[in-house]
Amino acid sequence: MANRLVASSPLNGFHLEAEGAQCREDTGYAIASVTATKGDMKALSAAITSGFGVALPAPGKAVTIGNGKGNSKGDMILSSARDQVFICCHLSPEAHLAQVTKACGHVASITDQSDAWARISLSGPACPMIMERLCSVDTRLAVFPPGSVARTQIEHMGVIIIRQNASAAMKHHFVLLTPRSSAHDLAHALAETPPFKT
Amino acid sequence: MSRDMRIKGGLIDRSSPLGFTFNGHHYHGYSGDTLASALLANDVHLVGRSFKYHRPRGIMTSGPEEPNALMTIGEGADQDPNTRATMAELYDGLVSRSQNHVGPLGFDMMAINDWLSPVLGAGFYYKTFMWPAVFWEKFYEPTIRKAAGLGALSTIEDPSQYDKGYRHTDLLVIGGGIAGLTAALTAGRAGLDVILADEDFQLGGQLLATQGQIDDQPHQDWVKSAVAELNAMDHVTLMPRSTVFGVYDHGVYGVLERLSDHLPKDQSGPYRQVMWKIMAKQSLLASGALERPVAFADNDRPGIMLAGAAREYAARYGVATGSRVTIMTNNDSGIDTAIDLNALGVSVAAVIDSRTAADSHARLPKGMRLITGGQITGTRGRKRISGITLASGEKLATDCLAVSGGWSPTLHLTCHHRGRPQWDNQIIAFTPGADIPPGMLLAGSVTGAMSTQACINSAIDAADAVIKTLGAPSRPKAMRKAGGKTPPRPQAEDRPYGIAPLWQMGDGKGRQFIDYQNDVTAKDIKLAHQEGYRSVEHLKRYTTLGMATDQGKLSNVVGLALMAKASGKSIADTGTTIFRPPYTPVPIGAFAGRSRGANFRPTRLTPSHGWAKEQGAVFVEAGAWLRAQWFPQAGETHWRQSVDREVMATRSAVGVCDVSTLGKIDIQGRDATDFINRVYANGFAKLAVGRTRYGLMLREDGFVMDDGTTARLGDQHYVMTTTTANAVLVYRHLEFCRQCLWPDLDVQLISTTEQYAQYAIAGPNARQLLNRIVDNGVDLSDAAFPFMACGEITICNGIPARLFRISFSGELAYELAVPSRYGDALIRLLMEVGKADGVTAYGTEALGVMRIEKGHPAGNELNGQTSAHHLGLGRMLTQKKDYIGRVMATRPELTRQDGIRLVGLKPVDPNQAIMAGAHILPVGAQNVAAHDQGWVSSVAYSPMLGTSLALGFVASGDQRFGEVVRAADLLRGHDIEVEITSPHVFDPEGRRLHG
Repeated sequence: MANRLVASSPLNGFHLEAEGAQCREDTGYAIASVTATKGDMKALSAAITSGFGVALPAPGKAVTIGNGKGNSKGDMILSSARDQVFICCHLSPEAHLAQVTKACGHVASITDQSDAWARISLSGPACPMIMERLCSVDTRLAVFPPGSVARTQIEHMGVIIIRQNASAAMKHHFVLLTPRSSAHDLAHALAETPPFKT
Repeated sequence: MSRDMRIKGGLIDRSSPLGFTFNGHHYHGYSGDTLASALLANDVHLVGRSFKYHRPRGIMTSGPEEPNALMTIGEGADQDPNTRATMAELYDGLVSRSQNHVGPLGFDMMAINDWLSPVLGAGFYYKTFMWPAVFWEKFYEPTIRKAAGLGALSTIEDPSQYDKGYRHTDLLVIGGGIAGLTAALTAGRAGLDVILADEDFQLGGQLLATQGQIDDQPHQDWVKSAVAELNAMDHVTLMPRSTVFGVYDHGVYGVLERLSDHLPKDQSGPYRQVMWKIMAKQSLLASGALERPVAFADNDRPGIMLAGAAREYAARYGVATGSRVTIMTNNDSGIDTAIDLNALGVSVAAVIDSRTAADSHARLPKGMRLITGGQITGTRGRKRISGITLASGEKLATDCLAVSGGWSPTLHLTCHHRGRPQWDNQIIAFTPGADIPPGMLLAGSVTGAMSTQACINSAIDAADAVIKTLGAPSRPKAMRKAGGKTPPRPQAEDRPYGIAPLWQMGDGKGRQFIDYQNDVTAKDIKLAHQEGYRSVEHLKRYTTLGMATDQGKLSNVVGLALMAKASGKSIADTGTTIFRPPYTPVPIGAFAGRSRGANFRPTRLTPSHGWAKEQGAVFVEAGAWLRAQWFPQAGETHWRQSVDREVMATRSAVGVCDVSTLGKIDIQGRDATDFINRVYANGFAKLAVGRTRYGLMLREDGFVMDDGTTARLGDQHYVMTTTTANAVLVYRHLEFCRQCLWPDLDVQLISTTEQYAQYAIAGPNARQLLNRIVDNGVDLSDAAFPFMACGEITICNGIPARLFRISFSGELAYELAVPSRYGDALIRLLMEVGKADGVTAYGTEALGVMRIEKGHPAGNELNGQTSAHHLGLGRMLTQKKDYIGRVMATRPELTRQDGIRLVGLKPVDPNQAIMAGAHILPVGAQNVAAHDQGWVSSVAYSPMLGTSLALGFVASGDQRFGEVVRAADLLRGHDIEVEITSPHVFDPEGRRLHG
């Protein structure tokens, strides 16, 4: 069979623009779940440090990986559950799974989660007023600094909220990971929120 | 009839006139007016009819406690009944109507009730409408309810949109008067995150209504600079038009913000109101105090209002509430009202003070008439007060009577955790008790502080206490005024309040209203006492005192005082009822927020959803999922035609069904095999890599929890599938097992339900179709990939996929899983390349028909009340290992031989259909529970067998094949004879399965 299947993103490139805020689907990210075998986080931490050059993020935290400060790609490792992190990279899922397996396969169970999540980027100075309408978690900028992670709910939908590391251009930048099957409803919830809804 | 009652001053914007209508008459007001102030400016006092007696009523207050001026605002679907005119901000084009009258407001037909009042006293309907008994429900109650009503709903769906939101803060200040503003300034300057919420659209509270100075600034100017300073602080959020209506657990406050109620429709934002949940580490209640009236004969005529209201209308709105205003008071605030009104140019006819002497009298302007030790015994004027009669017999002409019976702290929110107010003999009022909600502090008049200076002092003290408790966070120094030094306390008026108790005037004769909204009189309270109602709770419910939408904000204390008088007890000993949320009415729409219609809850869409929609599929909800139920084709007019076609095409060629919704749980770890073996009731220890097995999972109580297949992809790697409905439940169960029961096992779990698009490919041509898309080298022959095989393969030139040879339909069948991003492309490809194989897409209904033909249990059978034995799966319960539910599954009731068993059912007359839910009864038996032998759980029409079929549970069913019983559905009047069969009626040997 010669024809390759064409991949589609969960939200078909959804985006919203408004005064002070923009929101778009980030496509092209691969996600691998990495769960420490025997709950041995020390071994996983060592593997991650040697494989990705960063420390294992503490619960409720994310760390940037890749090309350091100017991380324009948004590659990161985030704590996702007990003894578990998600490693997210702008790579093909196959290549990403291979690199994660190489780095952590000996100390962790790994699954491909690239297709399980929609990734939405929310940025701009109106972010706080959007987040406070949607989510009961305290995401005030001072309380939820860059690198913070909250696994919670928005409108009954599971969501992982990550405050992205700040850059001069993007002081307000949140990344939302939400299950693929209901991502269209999270996109709708965002569109129904001022300033996107007028 | 409309006179211009505007005077100079006020906080209205005279450059911005606004037109509005009341009962069809056109009026105008200004930006900054309320509907009430604009009506009074046009000399309109008669604004409604009372609840029970339909007496003419006027605007009584200037705030949230208004009992009379309830309006219907807006028209058609937008109409909003029972809106307090005193809280409704005026906008251009506002349309308002009065309520509760038959015929025009000035000539209400129902006013006859007022003449009938002698028989309509407290509890009248308990005594009057007792005979004949059937009349109560059918006639009396509907008639009474119709007569005694408030505004009406439009009965059209509310077109307004409502939203919700969540805010977090260090300190929530409730109330934006002198105490609230002072506390917010103190805490804000210290760097705390502060939210200040006030129900009014202008912050300032009583400062807007009163003349006076703070330091060297007039009240209204001080408010302006305080608000400006707060606005300049990034960490302070001011929320005007926001009512804190409830105090909930753990520092959660319910707040209703009105975003668009004050705007013409074409200027409204997307949301009318927002229901905020504010989570505050501390709150400071600075809700002030509410003035109360006094009981005297005919004290409810239009033109009679609270003294503070007359003062506020003059000072804040530039409105004279009369051209000859008389003031009746028992405290110094009434004296101050007289002084302010006079200063603002309102003509004061007289000041009647029930006290014989007071120091404050010296401050009254020269020439103003003062009657000390005076009492009012009656009033005149039907639609507007025209005069009063004093106890001395003197008659005074007046067109506005401003009454102050003292002030009661607005302590409602302190009761929301069942806190009970305590009586304070100093200020003759209830003040908050010791048991107020945790985390709440009090400041200002709600504590009983009655001078401006006392309010300032209590606010600074309370804010300092909050700062001490929470610790001042690090804020830029620029935030702190005066370089971090504490600024001096503002200086303001600090005079005594000088109240002397006065609850009732005159000899008790005549109509003395206590609760204006529910038309409860002093006589009703006396009557309740006479009839033996001693507890305040009983008094409240018998007389309905305080039970209207205003929750007795005006009437509560006066009613209790009269109750105390009747019983000869003190008010403190009489006690008080308490208050519950909401503080003021909250629209149901605001509680619902966005959760209405299609947005009530999210939906989950399968990877093939877009394609299925293009095919015109009919969808069904399965949990949160939308699944294609069937795919109608041209010419099909009945769903059965579509379903029959899908079944027959699948069984004769090949069908494709999206089964991505089934739960998929990835299980890895050194002890994964052991783990799975412990959660399933049948053996899994010897499942080979590359093989799949059906598993039966029990709950701890021995009943069946779920079933599904588990595939062993690697030595330490399994994928478990669950039913769609139980996916989350099973995952939670496994996590419980892993984390709590067996933490020593090395097992890692994660859901991969969303990661894969999975399609069932079933039918004699299934292999043929699959062979068209799998990559070279993937051998699908029966020998290489037999029934129950599984493996990781590639399709379409390198796309990773998982293949399982499992079958729910009884056909040669596979389930093919690819990463979800390829799900849409894959269904399109299968349908395209499968044309040559006769491919048909089938939905959940055809899936159901085929599983019923095969006797496979599904949700209807796995209903949480059936055991493995009931399902005919008793032999799967292995004795060779321990597993969850093993012990309890052996309970006699679950295993008894004559218990219910899953069977097939076939109508004796093939033209009859079996009804799901029908009960199984012996032929000829009476329809009584004692004869009940089971029930029908699933039904279908089998196009293969040409008959209706069912699965059901029948007592000893497995031993009764061939027996005829009845499937009786007495609710739907359906009762037919059915034959008990094996559940497996189609291809019982399973020849198709092995292809």
